[in-house]
Order: sequence, then C-alpha cells, then structure tokens
Amino acid sequence: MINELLLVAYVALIVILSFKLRQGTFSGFVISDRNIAYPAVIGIAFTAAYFSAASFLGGGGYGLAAGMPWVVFCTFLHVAFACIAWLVAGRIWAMAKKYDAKTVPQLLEKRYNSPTGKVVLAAIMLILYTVYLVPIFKGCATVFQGLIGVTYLQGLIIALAIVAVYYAIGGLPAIIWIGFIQGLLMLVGAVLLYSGLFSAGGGMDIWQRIPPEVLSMQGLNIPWQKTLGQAFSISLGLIALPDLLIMIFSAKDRRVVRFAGIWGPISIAIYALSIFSLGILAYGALSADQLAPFLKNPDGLVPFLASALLPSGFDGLILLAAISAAMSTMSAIVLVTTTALTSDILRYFHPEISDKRLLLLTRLVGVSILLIAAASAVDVPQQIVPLVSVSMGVIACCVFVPLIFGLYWERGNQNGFVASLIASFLSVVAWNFYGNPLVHPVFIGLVCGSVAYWLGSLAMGHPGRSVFPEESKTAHEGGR
Amino acid sequence: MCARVTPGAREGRNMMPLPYAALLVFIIIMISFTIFVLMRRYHDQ
Repeated sequence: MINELLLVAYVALIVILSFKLRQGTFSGFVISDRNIAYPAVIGIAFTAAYFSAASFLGGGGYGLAAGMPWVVFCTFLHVAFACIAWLVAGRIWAMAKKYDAKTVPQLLEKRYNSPTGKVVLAAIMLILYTVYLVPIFKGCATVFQGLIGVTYLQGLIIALAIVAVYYAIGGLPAIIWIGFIQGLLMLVGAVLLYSGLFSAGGGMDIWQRIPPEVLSMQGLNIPWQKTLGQAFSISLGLIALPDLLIMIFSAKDRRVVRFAGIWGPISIAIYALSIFSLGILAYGALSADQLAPFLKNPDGLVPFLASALLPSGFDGLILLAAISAAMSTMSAIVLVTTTALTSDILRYFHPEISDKRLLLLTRLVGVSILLIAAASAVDVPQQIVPLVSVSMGVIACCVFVPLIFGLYWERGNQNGFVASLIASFLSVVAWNFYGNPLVHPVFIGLVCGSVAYWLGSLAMGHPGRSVFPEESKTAHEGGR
Repeated sequence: MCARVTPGAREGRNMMPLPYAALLVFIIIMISFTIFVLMRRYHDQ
C-alpha cells in the first residue's frame, strides 16, 4: 500500500510540474529558451539523465562478476569524465549560444558549415538512440513489477504513459526540473543502499568478510581489460552524449554553467561510488546462498538489497529511485532523438516548415518513438549493460571527436567532420562483430574517428571556420 | 541478515583495500581541481 501511495504522489508531482512548465514555442520546448538559472537543477538533472536503470540495476550488480576493477575503473572514469565535461561545458554553451544551435547536430553543422554532416549525425542518433531506449524501458518495467506487483506489460504501459505525458507537455524544461527531483531521489536511494550494505556487513569489518579474489584488481570472472573497456565506453558518454549536452544549452548564462560544474561532478561521484560498489560489498554482507541467484542475474541484486537491508517502506523508495533513473534518461533521449528527426533531418529537406508545425511534429514524433521503443521492449534479451554500452558508445564516439576537436582546433573542417562520423560509426560496428573482445569497440572508434578527422581536415585543405570568429574570446567568456 | 566470514580472511584485514582508498583520494583531488579551475576562471572575469 505504501508503494502505491508513493507512486501516486510521484506521478501527481510529475503531472503538476509538466503543466506548470508547459511550452508553447519550439525554442521553449527544445532548449527552454536558454533560461534555466539554477546551477543545482542543471547539474543534478545532467546526472539523472546520464544514469539510467542500467546503472542502477545492472551497474549495481555487475561488480558481483567483475569484482574490484569494476568499482575502481567505473567510478574513477565517471568522475574524471564528469570533471572534463563540466570544464569544457562553458565553451560548449558559448558556442551553442553564438550559433543559436538548438540541437547538437545543428551545433556541429554550424561549426563546420556542413549540413551533410548534420543529417548523417542526426540519422545515426535517430537509429541508435531508439535502440538505446529499449533496454531502459525494459529495466523500468521490471522495477514497476517489483514496486506495485503489476505484470511486465503493465509496467511498460505505465512507464510509457508517464514519460509521454511530461515529454509532450513540458518539453526540456519539464525534463530538467523533473530530472532534478528524480536525481535527488536517485542520490538518496544510492546512499541508502550503500550505507545499508555497509551496516549489514559490520561497518569497516565488511572488508574482512569479502574474499581476496573479489578485491583483486585482476578481476573476478571478467578480465580487468574488458572491465576497463566497458567502464570507458559507458563513461565517455558524459562528455559527448547529445541528451546531456542539451542541458548545458539550456543554461541562462555562463555563470550558471560554471556553478552547475560543481553540482554535476559531486553528484556523479556520490552516485557512482555508492552504486558501483554494491556488487563487491554484497560479498561481505550476504551469504553464499543469498548471493547465488544474482551471480546469474546481477540485475536482481539491487531490488533484493532494498527489500532485505532497508526498513519497510524504504524498499519502495529505492525502486522509485530506479524508476526515476530510467525515466530521466528516457525523457532526455526521446527529446534529442525526436529533434534529430524533425529539426535536423525534416527541416533539412523542407526548410519552409514553420516553428509551430515543427513543435507539433516534435510532440507527436516523440510519443511515437516512445511507443516503438516500448513495443520493442516487450521481448528483449536479458542483460542490460552490454546492450546499452554498444549503442551509447557509437553515439559518444560520433559526437566526441568533432565536438572536442571543433572546440579546440580551428583547422578542423567539414571534410574531417563527415569523415570522422563515418569512420567512428563503421569501426565501432565492425569491431563489435569481428574484433578482439578484450579491446572495447569504443577505443577503436575513437582512434579511427580521430585519425579520419585529422586526415580529412588536412587533406582537403579547406580552412576551418574559427570557433569564435569575429569577437574576442573574452567576450565569449562573459556571455552573461 | 546472515553475514559470511571468509575462511581465508586474515587478522587485521578490515582495512579499506588500497585500490578503493586510492579511488577515494583521486575522486577528492579531481573534484577539488575542477572546482578550483571553474572558480578561478569565474573570478578572473
């Protein structure tokens, strides 16, 4: 009964916020008219959008198989990439404002003067983000089963309905403000689980109870090299995923971005350390019999810990946190996927479409993409983490190279941009099927994308467009 | 909750493992550095 009440209060809050933040213009819907003035809201919504149910459920349980390398590599790389992301965020914000870019493909199109590159990137995003939505829906529906005892299909329908409502009504402002609340819930849930496990293991004595092989940096059942690749590919997204970059676009000024750069890395550090440690700490707090089922199905560890370790009522809070993790990611993804289709691809072929019509299309297409992803999630393979990392890794590679080079290397041009997109995409996909599994495809994608960008930019000899052409860089530094 | 004591556990191993302790130190260093750079840029303007 408590869980049902919690869910009703949660949904009511989401609906109220959505109507309060409803948008009537395309610019308001997709970048909140660049008017978000609260750094904590952007910083924590960024964290919430980044971490999905895959991190909450899969990431929590993955340490059972991977051991200490998962905790160390994954947490370290997440915090490191979060710090880098927020250090370059001010420059990204300034560039987006200067070019009046509403989407990431538009930002790169204007940086490189390359409509072709924009359409190619938008097409890659459209396909892979829709794939990426499927396992998140699956995770969310599974948690709904645990929270209120509905069937998997009913869980899918509830998840679909909630996300569709707040996406279609409130757009990015609703996604960010609701994401902020969801992020707070996720942080509370993560810390509760971590401290509950520590307490059940006898405080610092828990380290004595964990078998030495679990604590070894050689890895438990998965070689450390594979774990490193997995952690790298997942965390790279922090710098380059379009669903996170739009949060930076929405800031009112550069001061907001800077202060959000404090909230972002701190919240990511707390969440990552708490969640990714659960797998190894479970060895010190649970018996072998209790652990056995989760060695085969690591995604079940977190719901079990919530019910076994925490007082009655708190398990509902944890499941709500997992649902929040999934929904915050889904809503941000569906927005960038939809704008890739409507604002980037459709407008490229039909530039005469008005903003009003585009807004209507963005609402309708977004709901349709959610429907397709939810329908595909009715029957998908079990493990969540590998599915997510492949599609996310490709998008991260495709955006990372042109974005970072484009920010800091003025000779980069449209040929390098398009070459890097094609090279990153093809190399990641090819390596995923035919390469050495010990080397993660994202490493290969980054190397191939960077080399292609460099060669393409130099070989064709076009002078690159200056990142900040006419005004001085100090003018951009101000931006407020 | 049934806690399990590993048979091979040695006396005095209830210290935090070195990689985990190093991770905590690195997290603090990285975040402090980020805040320092962001705030320095802010005050420079």
